Amino acid sequence: MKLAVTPNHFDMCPNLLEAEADILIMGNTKFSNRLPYSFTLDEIKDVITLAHSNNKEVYITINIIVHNDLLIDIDHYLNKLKELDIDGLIFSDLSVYELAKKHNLIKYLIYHPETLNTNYYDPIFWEKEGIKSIIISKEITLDNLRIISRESTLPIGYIGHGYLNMFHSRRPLIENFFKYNNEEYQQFINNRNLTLIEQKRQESYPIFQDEHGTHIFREKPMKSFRELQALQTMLDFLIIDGIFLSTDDIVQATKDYHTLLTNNNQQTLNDIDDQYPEHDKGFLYKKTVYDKY
Amino acid sequence: MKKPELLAPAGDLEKLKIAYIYGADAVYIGGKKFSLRARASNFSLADITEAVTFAHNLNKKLYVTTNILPHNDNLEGLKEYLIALDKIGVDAIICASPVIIDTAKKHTDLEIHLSTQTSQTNFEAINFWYKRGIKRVVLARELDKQEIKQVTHNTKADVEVFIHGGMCVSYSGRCTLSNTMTDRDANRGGCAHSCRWNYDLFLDNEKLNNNMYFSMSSKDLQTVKHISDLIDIGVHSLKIEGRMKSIHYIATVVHTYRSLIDEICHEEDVDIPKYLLEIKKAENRLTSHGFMQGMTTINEQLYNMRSENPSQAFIGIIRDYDKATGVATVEQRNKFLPGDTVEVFSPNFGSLKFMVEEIKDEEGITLDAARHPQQMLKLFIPFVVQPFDMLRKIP
Repeated sequence: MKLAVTPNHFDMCPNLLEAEADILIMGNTKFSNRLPYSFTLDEIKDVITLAHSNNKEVYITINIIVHNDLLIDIDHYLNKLKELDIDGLIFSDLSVYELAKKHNLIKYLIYHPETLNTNYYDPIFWEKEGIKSIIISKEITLDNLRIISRESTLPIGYIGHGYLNMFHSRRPLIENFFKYNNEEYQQFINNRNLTLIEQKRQESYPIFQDEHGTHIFREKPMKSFRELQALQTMLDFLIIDGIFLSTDDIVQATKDYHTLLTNNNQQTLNDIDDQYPEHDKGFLYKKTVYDKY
Repeated sequence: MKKPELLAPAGDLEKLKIAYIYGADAVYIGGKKFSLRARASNFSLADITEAVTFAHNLNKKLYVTTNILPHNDNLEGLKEYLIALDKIGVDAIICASPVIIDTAKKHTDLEIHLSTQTSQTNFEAINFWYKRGIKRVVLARELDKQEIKQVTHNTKADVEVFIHGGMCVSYSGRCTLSNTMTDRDANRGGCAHSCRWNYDLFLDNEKLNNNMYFSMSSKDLQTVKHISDLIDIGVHSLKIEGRMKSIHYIATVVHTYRSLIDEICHEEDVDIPKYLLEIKKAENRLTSHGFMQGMTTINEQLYNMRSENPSQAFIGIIRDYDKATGVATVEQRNKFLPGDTVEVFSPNFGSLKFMVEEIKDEEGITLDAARHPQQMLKLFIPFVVQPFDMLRKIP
């Protein structure tokens, strides 16, 4: 199983490669949602050169929900990306599949619509479409991931570490709230230090508004050190999502997962897991209710 | 001018009949399995059979939602269920997951519509599905009219657009607020509507909302002013949301849009204010045009207020009428009194008014008021009415 990490700056990419990240995931905010950092094409080109010289890979994300007015720009972007020797192309909207076909990029595609890949048939469906991989939805439990993996001959990925997104609205919800109150709002756009607390709960959910709308995340970042051995048998790659994490935290998490992938003894596992007391297990054991309430 | 289909929701057989009688060309319902709105989806296969028969006798269509995003353990009986729907003769199923789409394609001849749960926002994505046998696509509710036009003109798929009812604040199908906060899976029928709750907004530790809660809640969609444009664009189906709404809501909303579509397509002068007044009679949350005119503003959001506006105006539904005596049998829904002025709301003649004289119960005993919900009452109505006509009290 490879470790795929989203860097929060161009300058940290060498550190991540040194920490034994196998794949760097990056993109430009014009075409990507919820990135820790927006890479220019020149930066992507440099990272690819560096990564390949270290036998590592680079996946590009174009994971926005695409509206008609961006189709031409995505087409142009793909035209440039195909010159860059990318190793994977993560997408969420099927327009990207249609456009990638024109550029002969289908074999690089990795389907990641956040919530739609939920059962054993999804990899079977997408394998027939000729793509490289799919990323299983975050709300799928470890038990279900095991079943999906058993049935799948298509490589699959899963987010194993970091903050999980739980809401994306096209609406400018923060801007509108301040406008309604006749207050200044510019300072709160693209501001990643905002949180929401629900009236009857004490949980604090990160929220921000950007050019693609409003995004809300789970309160706690997740970790999966104790599940790593099991996940290793199921996944092609495990994602460490760097959003809201410091450079040091992203690098350290990468090192820690790599350490456990090479030496998963109980003492090391306990020592590492203890370093992340604020993290929870995401949906790994959280079976959500279907139709019984 | 191509007349679009008017598509209405129904949560049970009575609502389904009301929707057709008041002018829907097609109705969508949920079965016991594989459908969102689990609490509203109470159609057994026997009910669906009755619904199909009722629809086809009127030369109308019935669609069944199979629009959950199933996990592995939700798939038992899928093939058998879809085959049963096909045999019953439903006109289409509404799907979001490849496993349901491909099972239907492999084992049935069912027409497949792609649910709004997949958030289809552009024509390239829609064409992906059209090439894989999807006949119709329900667009995401985040599109404005210009985008709807571009999509419709660049695909061979039939395009279905929401014109009325509740709206997800999130892109539909991409939200797990409910999963996270309540363990209820929004994409398998358990949405707790967490996006409509009250929140405080903080910058680090500083609370930013001092006068009111931070709210994300959306007004409901209402597009009376936009129907003419949607017809001009060539949208195939105009869809009303609300499988959990009341019969009065269904009747009022369906009849308003039915009359409006017919007038526009007959190229009559359309009295928009009349329709705006009429649709307000449906008990409803506050409404707006959603994304129809572009990005949402403060006018499409709900702030600092509860929006529910339960109407007391709906007082009864006609169950029978004796033409010889002029006495109607009415099932009570809200309190009314002798002397009240009442409007009969009918799919046949629009509305006519009369004054309530004597109210009797089924035993013929005179009552001083109609107090009890669902009590059968007898009253004189000075013109011919029919079963399923509704009574509204005029304030």
